[in-house]
Amino acid sequence: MQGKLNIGEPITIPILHKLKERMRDDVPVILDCSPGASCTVVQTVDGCDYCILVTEPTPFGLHDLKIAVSLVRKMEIPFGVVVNKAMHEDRSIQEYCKLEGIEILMEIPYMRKIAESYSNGKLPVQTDKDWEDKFVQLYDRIKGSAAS
Amino acid sequence: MKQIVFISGKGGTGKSTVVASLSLLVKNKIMADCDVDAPNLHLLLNGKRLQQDDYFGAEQAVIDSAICISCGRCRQVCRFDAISEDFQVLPMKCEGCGACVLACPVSAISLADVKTGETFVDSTERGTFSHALLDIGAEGSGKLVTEVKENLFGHINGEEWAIIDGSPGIGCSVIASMTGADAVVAVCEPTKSGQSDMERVLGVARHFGIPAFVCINKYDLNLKITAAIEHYCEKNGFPVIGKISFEPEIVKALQRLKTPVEAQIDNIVREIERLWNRLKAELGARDEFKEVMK
Repeated sequence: MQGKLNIGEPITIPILHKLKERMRDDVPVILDCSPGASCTVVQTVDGCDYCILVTEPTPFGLHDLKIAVSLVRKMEIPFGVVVNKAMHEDRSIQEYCKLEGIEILMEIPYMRKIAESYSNGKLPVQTDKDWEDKFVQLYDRIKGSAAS
Repeated sequence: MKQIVFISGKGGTGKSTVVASLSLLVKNKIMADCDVDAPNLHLLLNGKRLQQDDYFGAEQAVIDSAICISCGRCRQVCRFDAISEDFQVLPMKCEGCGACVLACPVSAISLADVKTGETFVDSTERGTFSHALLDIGAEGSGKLVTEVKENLFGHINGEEWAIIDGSPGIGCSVIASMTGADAVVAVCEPTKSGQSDMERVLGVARHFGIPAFVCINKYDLNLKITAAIEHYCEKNGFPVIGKISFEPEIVKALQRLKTPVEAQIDNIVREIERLWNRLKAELGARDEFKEVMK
C-alpha cells in the first residue's frame, strides 16, 4: 500500500491514517517512514512493535540518530540500529550505541557496487546470497525483540 | 537580494553537502537551515549566538474535565486520533486544529499555546546563519521554517544572496522553505526512487511558480538514469545546472566535519563552482528577459 500527497498540499497525516486503517493484523507489516522527527514520523511509528533506525557514520548521521532515538524512547517502542555506508574510518555510531546500550542490527558497507546496483532498482538481497542471509537473520532478530 | 533554496525529494541526496560547500565559496550572503526536524548545518558553522528564542508554534486542545460530559463528540471529529478513550488530549498527536472545540456541546475544550521548538541566529565567519530545532515529536514544522526565514531576513545587512538549506519531502515544511524564493535547486540522485522524488518536488516548485533547477549528485553511478533525468528536465523546462561525481572522499571529509572545499577535493569543488556560476547566469538571463519584456 502507498499513500501519495497531492502536489502543493501541506497536510500528510490524514493520508497516513487511511493507510494505517487498511493495515492487516494477521501478517507482518513493514512501514517505510518519512525522515525527521515531527508529526509524520510520530504518526507512522505510533503503534509499531519495533523500529529500525537507519543511519550513516557521519557527524550529521549521528546527530540525527540521537534525535530519532529520543523520539522512539519517548514513544516507548523497542528499536535497533542499522548502519548504512559503514566505514572503518568512522566508528562514531558504534561507540554511541555501545554507550547507550543500543543494539546494532546490521552494518552495510559503503561500496560503490551496492550504490550502483541500487540505482538500477536492484537491492543487495536480490543480487547476493550473503546479503539475503543477513537480512533473514536481521528479520529473525527483530521478530524476537518485537514479541518480547 | 536573491533567495536560493536547496531542496530534495528525500533525505541523503547531498543537498546539505552542496549548501555547506557554497557556504565557503559564495561571498556576501546569509544562510538558513530549514530542515528543522533534523538540522545539520550548525554542526559546520560554529558562530557567536546573536539571538535565541523559544518558539510557540502550535496550539493544543485542553479539556476541562470538570465540564466534560464524556459524550465522545470530540473523539468522533478528531482526524488525528488525539483524544483518548478517557478524554485526555494526547500531546504528540494533537495538531491544534480546533475541530473538537467547535464540536464540544458544553464548551469544555479550549486551545492553548505550546512550545514546539527553539530558534537561533548566529554570527559566523561565513555570514549570518538562522536555524532552529523542533522539539522531539512536535508538530508545526512548516510554521517553524517560516520563523527561521523571518529571523534570517530580520538580519539582512546588504548581502547579495540568501542560501537556504530546505527540508526534505514535499509537505508543509518544504512548501514553507520555498515560499518567496527566487530559485529552487533540487539536488537528486540517479536512482529510480531518486528520479520520482525529484519529479514530485519539482512539481511543488512549479505549482508555486518558482523557477526550479536541478543538480544531479553522484551522476556517474548510473549514466542511464542520469540521461533520463536530463531528458525529463529538458522536456519540462528545468535546467540541469550541475552534475557532481560519486566521490567516497566526500564522506571521509564530512566525517571530519570538513566540506569538500576544505578537504580540497578539487574535482568536486570545480563541479560545485560550476553549478553556482550556471545558476547566477540563469538568474541573470531571467532578469534581463524581464527587463526586455517591460
